[in-house]
Amino acid sequence: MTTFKRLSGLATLAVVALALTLGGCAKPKTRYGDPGAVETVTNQFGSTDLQRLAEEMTQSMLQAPVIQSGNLPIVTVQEVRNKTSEYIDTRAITNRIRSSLQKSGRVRFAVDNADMQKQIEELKRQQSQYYDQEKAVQQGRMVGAGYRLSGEITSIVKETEDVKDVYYQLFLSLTNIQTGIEEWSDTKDIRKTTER
Amino acid sequence: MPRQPPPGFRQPVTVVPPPRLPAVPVPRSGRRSRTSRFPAGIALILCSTLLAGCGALRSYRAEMDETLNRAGAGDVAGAIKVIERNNKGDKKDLLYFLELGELERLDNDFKDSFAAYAGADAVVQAWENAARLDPAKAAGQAASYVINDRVRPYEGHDYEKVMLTTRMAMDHLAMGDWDDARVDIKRTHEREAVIAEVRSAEYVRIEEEAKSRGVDPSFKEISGYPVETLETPESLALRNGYQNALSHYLAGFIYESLGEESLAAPGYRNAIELRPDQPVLEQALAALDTHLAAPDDTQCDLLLLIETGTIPGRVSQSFNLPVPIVSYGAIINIPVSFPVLPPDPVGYQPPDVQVDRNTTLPTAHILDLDAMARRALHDEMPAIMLRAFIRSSTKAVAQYEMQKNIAKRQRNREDSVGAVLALFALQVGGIVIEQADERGWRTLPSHVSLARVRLPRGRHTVDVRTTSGTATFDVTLSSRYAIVDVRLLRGQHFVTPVGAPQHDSAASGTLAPLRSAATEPLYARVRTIDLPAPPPPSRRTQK
Repeated sequence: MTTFKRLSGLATLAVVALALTLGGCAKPKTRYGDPGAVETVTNQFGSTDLQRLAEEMTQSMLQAPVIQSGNLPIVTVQEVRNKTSEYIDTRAITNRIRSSLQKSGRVRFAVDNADMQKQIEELKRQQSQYYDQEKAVQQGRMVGAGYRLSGEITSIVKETEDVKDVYYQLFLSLTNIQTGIEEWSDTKDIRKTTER
Repeated sequence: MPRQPPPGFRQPVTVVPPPRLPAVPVPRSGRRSRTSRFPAGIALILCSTLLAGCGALRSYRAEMDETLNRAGAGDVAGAIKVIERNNKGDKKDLLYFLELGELERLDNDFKDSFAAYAGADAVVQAWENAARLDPAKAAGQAASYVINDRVRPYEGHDYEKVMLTTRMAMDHLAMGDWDDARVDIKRTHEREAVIAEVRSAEYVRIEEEAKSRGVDPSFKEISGYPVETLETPESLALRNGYQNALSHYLAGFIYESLGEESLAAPGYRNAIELRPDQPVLEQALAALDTHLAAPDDTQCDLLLLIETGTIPGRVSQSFNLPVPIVSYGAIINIPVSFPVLPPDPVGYQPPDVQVDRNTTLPTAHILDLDAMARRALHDEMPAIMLRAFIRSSTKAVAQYEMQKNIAKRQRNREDSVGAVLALFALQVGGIVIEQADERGWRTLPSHVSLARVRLPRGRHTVDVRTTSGTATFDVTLSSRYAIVDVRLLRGQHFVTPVGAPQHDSAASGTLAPLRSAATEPLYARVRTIDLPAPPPPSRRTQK
């Protein structure tokens, strides 16, 4: 009887081991999801944070008098400084804001610093012998921006054994390049708390 | 403080030597005694060992000692042959790819190095994908509960997973592909996040399982374990066993060279947080705005990485582990092997680097992989101990039952020869099979220091002090950013011109490894390296 019990125990162990081994063979499933759906996989900066901040900032900026005036201000986008310790590509935020503003038809954008090199290269390329010079773009015709969009993102992280709390704050401002007057600014924030 | 047994437990019982053979007559009957059969426990262990192949008994440390001796003597091709000889099967494991990738790097064959690392990355990615789905499931392999940890499919230590994508980035830089280096470096910090999730879940799981089994997986349970080799000031000062400042600094440097300030800043910031109070690291963040805003002034920002030593190898050592057997209310001391890390005998990092014989650059000790390996083992020990407890419980139960059975038979003057032999076989077999996992990526350096300087473009001489003289090489700078990686390995010096486009290297023949013997005169010029230009900063499409 004792031997039987022992064998039963070992058989159970073997079955559990086999089940664990086979369990590891389960293949992950891939499916498409809604890009606008709320993502709470981790408490790091994610797609929902990006979308929410960009959307709220766009709505706020569209209410600024300089944009409401209907004068189609020309804006250049500067680097939004990342003051967090997370790898947040702030261009993804400003790109989203820029395309939303452009779709509104109330703002135009001049080439920014990051794209300037490519712009100059293209201008120079069209001056080469390979292009019909009558139709090629002329140098010295670029239009400078009247306003610059700049800002920064900061975070405060607090963590205990059981809870991690992350607070993000995005600050953006629109400054008149000629006068240096800040025409609009706003802050938007997000708080995320994870309990283990 | 002595360990308190859980409620209901009797005093510990030490079961070690089998009882003496009894002087009883052998039964006359031709039938085999029931007790002379090998117990099912032994059969299971033996079968499992056979099923697991040689993994349970293979000594990875011995294999790698030979490989490293060859590489350290300058025979990288020979070292690769040793790796190939020890991994003849069609199905290669993670360590094969990791070691091969590193040796190919020493041989300046970045294409083959990257191919090997890609093989390793496929294994780590599979682990990563599983971990993303269920972090709690990512740990635990059934076979290791029955035999030993060596039969676990090697999934890599966490710091190795982070170093893998860092090395892949460095290979891409060496081949002049800064865009793909960016992909690798981005994956590095994404991987760190996955590891953090997994370890957090694992910590909770181990704590709960240990509690439910009434065991305490802490060092004080292992009598004589050299805790001081794991709890060094350097290892305890680390934030964890997987995040390293080099990977983050390199991320900062790559993002900066590509004009991505918002990503470069956290790279440098994380490096500073991981290795605080190092002015060389702090300068990078302080100067980031100025560097990016400045027009191209024909200067080159040169990053010098100096890698020394080899990472320490784990050694299997036997200790007595008190294993509680709940059903019998006893604690039995079972000999169990645990991995230990011997102290690092070298630990050399050059304090400075000379450029053009007139400028001395201080270095920052940015990566201490020796300490990381110790911290990693320190953090892994609760899981290793828990598996040992579970594994030993099966053996302890079998051992306890057999011993009881022998005693009973001796009392009744029955035949117990077979049972005694079976018990002896169980104990000897247990000792042979019970070997700690010694595996680990051994060709990695143990320390990395860095120096950074802005120099006019053109040719410059760099001198690096080593324990056996000075390694000197020339670099020709032709772009805004450049990286040079110098590996000092047991008197051999390998210079990796990170970023050299392949066609240039083939034309100039500058990619052969530098091997300056220890007897080489100080400041001897041994190498000329032409460094490539990264692509100009531009708006980038996120990969």
